[in-house]
Amino acid sequence: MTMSVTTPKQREDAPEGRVEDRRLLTGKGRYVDDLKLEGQAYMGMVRSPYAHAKINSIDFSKARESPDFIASLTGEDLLKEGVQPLSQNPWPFQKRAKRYHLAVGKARFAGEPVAAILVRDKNSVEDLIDLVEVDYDSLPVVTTIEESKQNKAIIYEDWGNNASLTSEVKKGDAEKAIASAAFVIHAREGIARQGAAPIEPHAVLVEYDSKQDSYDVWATVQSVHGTRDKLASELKKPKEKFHVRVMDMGGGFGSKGAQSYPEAPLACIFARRTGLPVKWTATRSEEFLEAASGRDEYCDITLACDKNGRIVAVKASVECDLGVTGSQAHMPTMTIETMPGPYRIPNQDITVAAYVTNKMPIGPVRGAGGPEGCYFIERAVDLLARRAGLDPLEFRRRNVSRREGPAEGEADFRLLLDTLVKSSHYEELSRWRSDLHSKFAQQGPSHSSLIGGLGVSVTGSDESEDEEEGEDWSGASSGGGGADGGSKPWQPGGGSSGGAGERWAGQTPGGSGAAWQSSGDSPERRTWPGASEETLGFMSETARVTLDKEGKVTVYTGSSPHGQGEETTFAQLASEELGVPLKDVTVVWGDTTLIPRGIGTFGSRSAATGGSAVIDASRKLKAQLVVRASEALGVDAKSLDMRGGGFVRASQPDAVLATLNDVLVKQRADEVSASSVFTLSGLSYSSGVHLCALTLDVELGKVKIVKYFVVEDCGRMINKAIVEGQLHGGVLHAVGGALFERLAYDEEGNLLSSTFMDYNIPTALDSPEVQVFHETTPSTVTLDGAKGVGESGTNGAYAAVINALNDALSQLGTGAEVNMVPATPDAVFRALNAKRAKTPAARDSS
Amino acid sequence: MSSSPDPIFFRAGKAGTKRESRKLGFLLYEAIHGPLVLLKAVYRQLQIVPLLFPWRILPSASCALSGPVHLISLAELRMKISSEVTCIAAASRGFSKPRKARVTPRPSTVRVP
Repeated sequence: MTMSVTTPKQREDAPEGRVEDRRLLTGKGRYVDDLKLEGQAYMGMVRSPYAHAKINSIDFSKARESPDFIASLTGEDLLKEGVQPLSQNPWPFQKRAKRYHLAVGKARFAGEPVAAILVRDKNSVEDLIDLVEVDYDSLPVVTTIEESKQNKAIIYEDWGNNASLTSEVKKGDAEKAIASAAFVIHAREGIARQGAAPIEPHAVLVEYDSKQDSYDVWATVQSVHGTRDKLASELKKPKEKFHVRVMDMGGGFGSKGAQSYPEAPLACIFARRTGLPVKWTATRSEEFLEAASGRDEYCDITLACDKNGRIVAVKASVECDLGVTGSQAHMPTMTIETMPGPYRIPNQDITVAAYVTNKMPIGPVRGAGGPEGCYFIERAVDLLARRAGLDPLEFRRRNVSRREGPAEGEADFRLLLDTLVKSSHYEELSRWRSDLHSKFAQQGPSHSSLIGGLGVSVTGSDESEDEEEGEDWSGASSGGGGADGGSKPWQPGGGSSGGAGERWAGQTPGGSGAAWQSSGDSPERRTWPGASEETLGFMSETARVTLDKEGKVTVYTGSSPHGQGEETTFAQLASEELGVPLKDVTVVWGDTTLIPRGIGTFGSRSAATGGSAVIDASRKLKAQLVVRASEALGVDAKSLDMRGGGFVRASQPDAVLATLNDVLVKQRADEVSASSVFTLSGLSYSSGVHLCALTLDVELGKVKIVKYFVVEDCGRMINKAIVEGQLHGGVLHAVGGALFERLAYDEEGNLLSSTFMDYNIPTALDSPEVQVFHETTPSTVTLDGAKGVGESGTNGAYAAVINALNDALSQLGTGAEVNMVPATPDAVFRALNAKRAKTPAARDSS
Repeated sequence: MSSSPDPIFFRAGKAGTKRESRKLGFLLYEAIHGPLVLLKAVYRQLQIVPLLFPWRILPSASCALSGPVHLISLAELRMKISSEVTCIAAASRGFSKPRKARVTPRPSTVRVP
């Protein structure tokens, strides 16, 4: 059964904007660099100017002469102290490498920290860094995949070669299907390295308490719990010794997620050694040099379809320039997992190989393999549609979801495509394209140098195949899906509309989700009910909801918002469930003492996973309150409900029997609370279709996006402004990657784009107006019905923009194509001036 | 830093990896180019002094300053001087003077489409 809602659905009392915006837009947001502790010192990182060099000696003698100099650290010091190498996530595909916080023996990329200094005066940091003399012997530099394959230099000698990971997705017999297919295309595509480029660079402030041997850490991270666990592991201390907090944060886009960085542990060591609070804030160039970047993947793809335009096989080989090994080097495996997208392709042979080079590490950047996979398949789909003589939209329509209709909770891709045609006035756009072409052909480029192009892409996955594969991404040891207390998935009509007694019947008092009561305990003394030492996985999240006598609700979440609007989203969810006004709900996040367990915000997971945990905890709290009211009033719990901060009979909702305060006073409780550790039973991501209309100036090679449409299915839309904001930002992120942004290196491994003068991000002038339309199908695996939407816009937009550009180029009849992004004006210009038409045969041989 | 034979540096003894600080080119650089850069930087620092008195370098000013200072903005001048200072800082590190970055980027694979 499809539960399709064709208009934006959100509660009537949902806020127009976001509750955090007043604070953030009036300059009241507080960031780590705003903090200043008494007597704080400043850390500076001495970075390697060489991409690959042996370190012979590090001399601090000149720096020590300065009165501002306090202390120094080298990699050798860390080894003596027994500091463990930088943490790496335990993905099975990737080789593990010992990479230390400060280079030991040799530097492996330009910008790698080789020493750290502690300085009294902030203004002296860079001066003293310059006084540290490091003697290097340069080593051969590996800057390309080919050099890495040929082992021009071995970057991790104990590996014996530079291959980091290989993986594959295989199904059926792709070779055989391609050999007998009616239409076949071959293409080579690529996405250059792109930075996350958050507004706020990385920063950390550490204060050490010598009496408790504990550390207070403020950091710009997407997961305080991940940061705490890594600090504990790398510095070999119990987790309880680290109190990690995050403040407002100016974006992360993945680069502040699970990636390991050296500065926080180094600041902890300095703080402990000197007793001083230690702060470090990255300069913009340091952010470019060190923060994990994304993409840098290249794909040879063969796609085949039968005479009816049904895709029968895909064969693809992806290669990735990983840079040095980071803690999340598995991104290319995500590319091949997501590559088949929404298409049911019976024969698949997709492989990936990643190689280390002397560049900064690759890590997750908004989409984390999704944009690459979507771009590779969608570009090939466009080429195959043209080869088969079909309209790209019709070709996609034939290949998404071949069944009678999607299952409950799944996106209906055909409906999304149909809505796109209607909403974008596709026929008018096609006429506009033809008119521009006619003008160009009749008057010539000297009079009219603009041609128009239309490009389409589809983002999402064939969810039925996930079920067949039975893949378990949860990593959680808490067992199957669902809440620990057994809450039910979201149902149309409101998750809180069922009887309170019904939900209470599903609870297990005293179990892992049991309510927890405190009476003014300090945060440090609190314990997390139901919390065990089991490791939470990507598909789990925690929440605790408290309610005091005044009717004020506080939501504690393990998620960690940094621009996503979760203060609003989670407040809305708790408000709906508990029947309290939105203004009475406060959301607390990013504090490992107040919230001892959690995962964080990344990977489009928080509304789905964190939101479900908030709902689960709220339902448990409400059930507990109804039972308390039943005891206090002597009324059957099944006939009670909560409304407007009071208790009513379900049959007489206007007659308040008792206020919340009355019940809590009778029960002698100051505050009641309930918690949840919620684990999803399956992935829940939004799907969408994109349409880009652009003009290409054939004289200048300049591309201008004139229209951009997205039709998406984000499940239940909790807050329209937030969903559309995520899509606007996601599309713009990909427009930057498709047309502007590239982290460029020279042959010596020097980063050539380490400032915003050189790294070209789109400005407001380059930003298209993104029109978003909704065809929502509530998720059946989340309690709030939401599907993750944070990366959806980015995943689809690369392909839509480049398909539109190639549609424009195809009208010139020269065979010019651009399959490498970013399609900067010089790249487009080169393609335009290619003298030899690229026939399919020529492309095969290249 | 570690003087003992280390298997991870088995390539260190190969030709072309001689310590830079012992190369003749580097010694000449230290002896000649470093002081020249310093002199140039000092000269440029002196050039900025008139900018403290902007009315004196306006074209209509009676006491116009000669030279190219008229034509460049304060921001441009600061950038040029900063770059010289950066150069001096790099030179002062001596042993760690990196090679100048090439203007042309190198793709991650020669098979870029």
